[in-house]
Amino acid sequence: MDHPLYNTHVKLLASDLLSLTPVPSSNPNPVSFSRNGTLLSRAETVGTVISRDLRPEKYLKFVVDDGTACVGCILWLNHLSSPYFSRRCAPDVRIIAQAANRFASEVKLGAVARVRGRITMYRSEVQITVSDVVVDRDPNAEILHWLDCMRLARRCYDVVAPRK
Amino acid sequence: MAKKPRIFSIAELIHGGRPLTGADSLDSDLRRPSISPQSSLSNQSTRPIPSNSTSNPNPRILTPLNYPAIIDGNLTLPAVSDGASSSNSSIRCFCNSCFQFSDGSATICCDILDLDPFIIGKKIRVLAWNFIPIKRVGGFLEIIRWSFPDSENGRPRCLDGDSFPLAPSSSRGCENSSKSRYRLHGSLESVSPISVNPCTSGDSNSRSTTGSNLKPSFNIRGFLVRILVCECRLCNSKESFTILNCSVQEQNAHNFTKPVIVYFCVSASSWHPVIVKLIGKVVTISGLKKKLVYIGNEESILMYVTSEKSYLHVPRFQEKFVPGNQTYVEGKGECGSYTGIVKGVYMQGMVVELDHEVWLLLTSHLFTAPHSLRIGALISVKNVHFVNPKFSWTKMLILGACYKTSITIECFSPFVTGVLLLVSCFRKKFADTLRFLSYTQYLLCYYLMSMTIARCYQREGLVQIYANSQLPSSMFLSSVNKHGIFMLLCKHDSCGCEGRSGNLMLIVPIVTFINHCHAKWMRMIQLEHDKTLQKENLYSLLLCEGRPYDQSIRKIFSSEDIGIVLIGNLKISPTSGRLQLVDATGRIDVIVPDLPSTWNSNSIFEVVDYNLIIEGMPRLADNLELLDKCFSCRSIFNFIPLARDENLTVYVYFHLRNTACRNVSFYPRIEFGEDLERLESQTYHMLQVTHKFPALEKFQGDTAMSDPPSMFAEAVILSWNLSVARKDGFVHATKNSGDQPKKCMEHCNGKNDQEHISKRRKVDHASSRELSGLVDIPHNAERLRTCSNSDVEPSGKHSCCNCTSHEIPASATIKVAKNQSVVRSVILNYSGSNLNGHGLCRRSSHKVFLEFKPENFHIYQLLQIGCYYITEHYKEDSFCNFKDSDYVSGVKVLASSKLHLWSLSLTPDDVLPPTNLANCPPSDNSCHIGGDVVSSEAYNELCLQMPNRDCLESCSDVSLCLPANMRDILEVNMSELEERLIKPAVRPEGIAELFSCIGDVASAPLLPNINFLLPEGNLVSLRGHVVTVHGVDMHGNSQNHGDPLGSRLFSGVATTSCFHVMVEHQIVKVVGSLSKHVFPPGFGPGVDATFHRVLELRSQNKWMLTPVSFIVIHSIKTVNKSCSEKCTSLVSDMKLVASLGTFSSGLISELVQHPDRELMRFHCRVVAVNILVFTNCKKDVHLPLEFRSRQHQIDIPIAGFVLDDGSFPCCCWANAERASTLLKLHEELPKGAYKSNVWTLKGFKMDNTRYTIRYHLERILEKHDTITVKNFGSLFDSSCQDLVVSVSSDNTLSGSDENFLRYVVFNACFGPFWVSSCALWN
Repeated sequence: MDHPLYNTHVKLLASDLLSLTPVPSSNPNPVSFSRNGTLLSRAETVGTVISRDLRPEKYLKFVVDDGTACVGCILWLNHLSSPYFSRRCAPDVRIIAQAANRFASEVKLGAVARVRGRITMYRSEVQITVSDVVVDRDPNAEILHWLDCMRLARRCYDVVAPRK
Repeated sequence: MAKKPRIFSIAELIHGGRPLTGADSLDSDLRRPSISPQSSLSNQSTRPIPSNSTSNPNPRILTPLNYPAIIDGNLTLPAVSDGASSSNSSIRCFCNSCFQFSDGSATICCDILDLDPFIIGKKIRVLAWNFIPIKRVGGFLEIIRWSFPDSENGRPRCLDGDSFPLAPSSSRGCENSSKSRYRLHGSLESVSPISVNPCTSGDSNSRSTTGSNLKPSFNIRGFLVRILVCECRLCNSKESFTILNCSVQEQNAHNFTKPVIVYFCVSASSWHPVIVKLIGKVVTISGLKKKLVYIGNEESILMYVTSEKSYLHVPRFQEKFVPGNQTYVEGKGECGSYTGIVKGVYMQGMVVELDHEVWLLLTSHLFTAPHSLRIGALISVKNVHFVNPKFSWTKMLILGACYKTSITIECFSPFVTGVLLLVSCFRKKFADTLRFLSYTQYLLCYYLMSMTIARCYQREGLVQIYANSQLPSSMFLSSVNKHGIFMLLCKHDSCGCEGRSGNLMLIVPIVTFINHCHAKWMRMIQLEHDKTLQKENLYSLLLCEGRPYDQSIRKIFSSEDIGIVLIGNLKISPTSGRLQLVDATGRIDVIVPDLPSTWNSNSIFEVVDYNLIIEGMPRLADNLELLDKCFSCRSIFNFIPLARDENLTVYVYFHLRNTACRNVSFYPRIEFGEDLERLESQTYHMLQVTHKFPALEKFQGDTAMSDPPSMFAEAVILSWNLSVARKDGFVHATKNSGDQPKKCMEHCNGKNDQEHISKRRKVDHASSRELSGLVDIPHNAERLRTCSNSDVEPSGKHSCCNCTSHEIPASATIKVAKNQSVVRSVILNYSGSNLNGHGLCRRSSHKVFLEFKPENFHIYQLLQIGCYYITEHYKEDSFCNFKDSDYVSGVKVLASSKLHLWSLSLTPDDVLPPTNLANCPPSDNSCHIGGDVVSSEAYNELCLQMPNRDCLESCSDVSLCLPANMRDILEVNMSELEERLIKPAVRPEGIAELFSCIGDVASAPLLPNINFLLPEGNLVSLRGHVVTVHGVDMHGNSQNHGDPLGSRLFSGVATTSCFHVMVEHQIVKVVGSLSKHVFPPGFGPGVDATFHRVLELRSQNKWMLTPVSFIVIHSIKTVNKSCSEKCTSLVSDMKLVASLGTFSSGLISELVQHPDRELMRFHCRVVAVNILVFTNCKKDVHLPLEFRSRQHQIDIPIAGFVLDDGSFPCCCWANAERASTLLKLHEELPKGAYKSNVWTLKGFKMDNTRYTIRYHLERILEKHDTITVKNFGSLFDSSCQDLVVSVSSDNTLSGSDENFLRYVVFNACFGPFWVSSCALWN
């Protein structure tokens, strides 16, 4: 419980997300980010897909605009070829790869996407390395996400005591 | 340079036939006497616009002429004609009281602003005008501005004023002739309409008789004027009126208080339009006669009558006289004046809407509204009655016109709207007989009835029937027809309309009513929403099977809140089989607990006291503005149907027999004793309705059911027959009772019924106890005879026709009218021992099925399960003539239209029913009808009692008053019967015992347990409080449709519904597929209901609705969240396993920090799976696959998920149902899954049918008892899970099956949000 939010998919507005500061870490976790002293590693955002760059069997880069800022997202599609996944259980990797392809097909320009993943840094910009994407058809999804973000910030993120 | 004006002729305008306005001259600086402020308003509104008259066939604004257009002609008074030969009026207008305008080419009616009587008869030049074409009459001219032609200009006028002869031959020189010597100086108060009265010339004493039928020698046309005169010396002097006029300058010195009546008759009657415009002004009338006028043979009035020598003197400059006694108008019928703009004219001019919230009601046909009363006109209504009805739903002022009322136009309308010309014959016939205070009822009633209902009753006129039946005779102006307005105006100072504004009720079409109530409901919901928005969500969520449901909201409004009266027929809906109140515009479901058996669909009911129930899911801010307008004049009279929310359930609850309520059937009027005559001197079968079967569904293409399906009820014909005596106390001799009057009934020959009841023979209690066990046993009949009725001759043979030994004398209170009942002697005959040799009566009780064809659905509607009924016994009736054998089961009896069933209740004789129910205080029974609306302040709820057995007993047609001991006998007999023929209902204690082992009512699967594939159990009755209702889809997964009772659940097709019913503080589920017709109106959360014949699945603690199940509602309560909150408290001990209730929403982190908190609701997603154990729960059952497929065979005894709501990832344990929900087992396998090679679906059907994940999982589980999936990887990252799948069986799990299981897990983690209720578990 040293870092209660470290393994949580925190719901942050994009402007908040982009203002996270990377924390050099010596622990096994590659990168972590700090928000008011709280360490974070995973995030969730909801917004409109405003750009899309697909490299088949490599990655899909897309940008999500949630009304406060734009967050870059990268969805890897190289599960079957990357050595990173080769050490994992092959059936699992295949299922994940299939799911990733499905996500890639659903992420279209103008769609409202709910993106979960790890917070990473690319060229000094905070981005999300996508774990899964759900295209939301609820027209209130964005607003509800805003309310969630504000509620969580007020009742959870801002009250978590900063850890040393 | 000014354009040269064009002179129009009247004939030219009439020929053109187009509405025109020639108001261009208003822009120019032409001479005119004066332009009133109203005229300048008119000036603005009639400003010339570019002419497009030829291209616009239906202009809204009068087509303006863009050049000066003038009309030269003479303004004259209407031609005088007597009532008998009004030939001239046919070419003018109906009323013949309009100014006439003639230019030589034609003559038309006209009206003029700011009349100066000086111009009458003179040639004028009309500078600004409107012309409205009228068929048959030609047209109507509205004179806005005028001047004298040059030739007429400069004519000298008297400064004091002008005098006008009221008759063409008047000459001032004859002013002081002996008879025409009276002069009046005063303020014109009111003017009556013109009427024609038969008149008999008096004798030598100048006696005139008006309205006498003796010698109607001629008709007099005229009108009455009430003038307030001054009684000062100067006014009473006989000085010439020139002197008087000088004193007029000092009008303040006069006190116009004394009312006198002047009859303007014969030629003076043509001055009516002038006098109307002079109301409120001080005038002098000279040359009057003073006459004693006899009205009929009863009344005589001294009044002034105009003569040939009469003059009207109008001062040129004067202020209007304002009566000193004018007071604040409270709206209780006081007389006053109102000036407003006409916004609408409805019902052929009977209703005029002024300024959007003032309704001017023009009741009398004698009163003729001016032609200029058009939409957009500014009118001034004088001597009109102000009524503030204080309707709860709107602010409204009603102006009731009477015969004193006058309307003058202050400003003409610039719009092209119709001209009031003719009054309808309907109005002429009837409207004038009603005073305006009743008129609100009447006119709206007229509106809806005139559309459809009245078609059936045109002969008499339904509105008239209604008015006659509902309104006191004082409200009718019958004297108007008899004596004209003479009597009313002369005899009474006021018209009698004041102070009668109390209790105005509005009758509106049902569609308008529903719209209004919808708006009211929405407003209330909105209000509550606004109040609670800051605290929490308004709408509580129900959780069942792990899925959330919104709960509908029910509100109950009383008629006092609504202030509207409903009128319509009570009919059975052919589609739903429900009882509905129907009018021409729509229909609304109704619940009538005490529907009289005399009810038929032709009866028209007035429903004053009722409760309205609205239920549904509110859609806030849904057309609220639009709904607000549903009671505007326009929407009511022009019938503008508003969009209605189909998801709303709206129904009305009222009583018809309750003595306190004012609901009546006013047509046809049921004569007193009609029922009684039918009931008397007859023998009746007694039967008890044991069940009502729900309506059969007609399936498409079902040729076997071409006709509308019948409805069925199950009844038991009891072994007792009932004979009713005549009023003299003798029981009518029947075959059953023998030819001789019974000795036991001798006491019934008393002087009155009450007496002989009190004298009735007492039967020894001890002996009756002895009897009780013998009653239904034939071989003991003799003992019964000798003990119970010792003075009756013993027959010695129990099986013969002599039934005297099996009779119970009793008295019956028979309800013959709403508040009337009579007492008759009756005899209960025991027929259990084959009472007659003709086989007409059954030897013992028999169960029959009553079949009701659609035309007899109303009889079906009347029946209540568990109630007793009697029906006439006659030769070859259906209840006697089926095959005579014991214990015949399932005999079908077709209920013909001749069948009449009277409800019967049994009461002990120590509680004698009152003969006059009106005098009886409300009963204290828990189910008395009068006090059925129970208010509970704690929950702000209303409780409506529904028709049921208990209620019916207190309002039954026949109340059988039995000696207490005899009643015991009967009851013993009945109870034996119930045990034998009627399935017992579950007793409360049985319920308690049954549910003593209930721990988790929610977690049990929907369908029977593993040992029984098909549901088995007893059919029982279950009574409880319905907590909630929701639909369940065919896969056993809940549908979150948001509206439990609205659209989908009761959409006509049978859907599986799940009812959570609280029985003995336990919540149980009743599940089953029923069509919407099975559900009684009002069924839903908050009702207390009995589910008859539901299948008791004892081992599952479940109850299943079957096709024969029937639901009876006992009471309805309002539902808002308080209901579910209460339930939450009752199930709080169930903690996690509770299936329903509302929980506060929160964050997982808060739950972790506050472990003492109970259940909380989270908005979270599945991140990972910790462990899953699947088991096959049907492994032991060896049945064909087809049977197994109907039930789920997956059990998930252990399921651990990692849920994340953004505040904290948390491991949660779920039961099988929730686990299957989180795993999305109900979803269909995506098509892409087939194409991939991730796993091979060996043995799976690969056709185009898409199966659920559950389906495939079940197939895998058929090979393996238990499958375990564990995650050894990350619990916080969905894509980093490391899953290991293992099985317990010896069979190894195939790769494809294993891959499928992995897919199931990953599919669950890549999913949407769930709302989950959790509690902390250490």
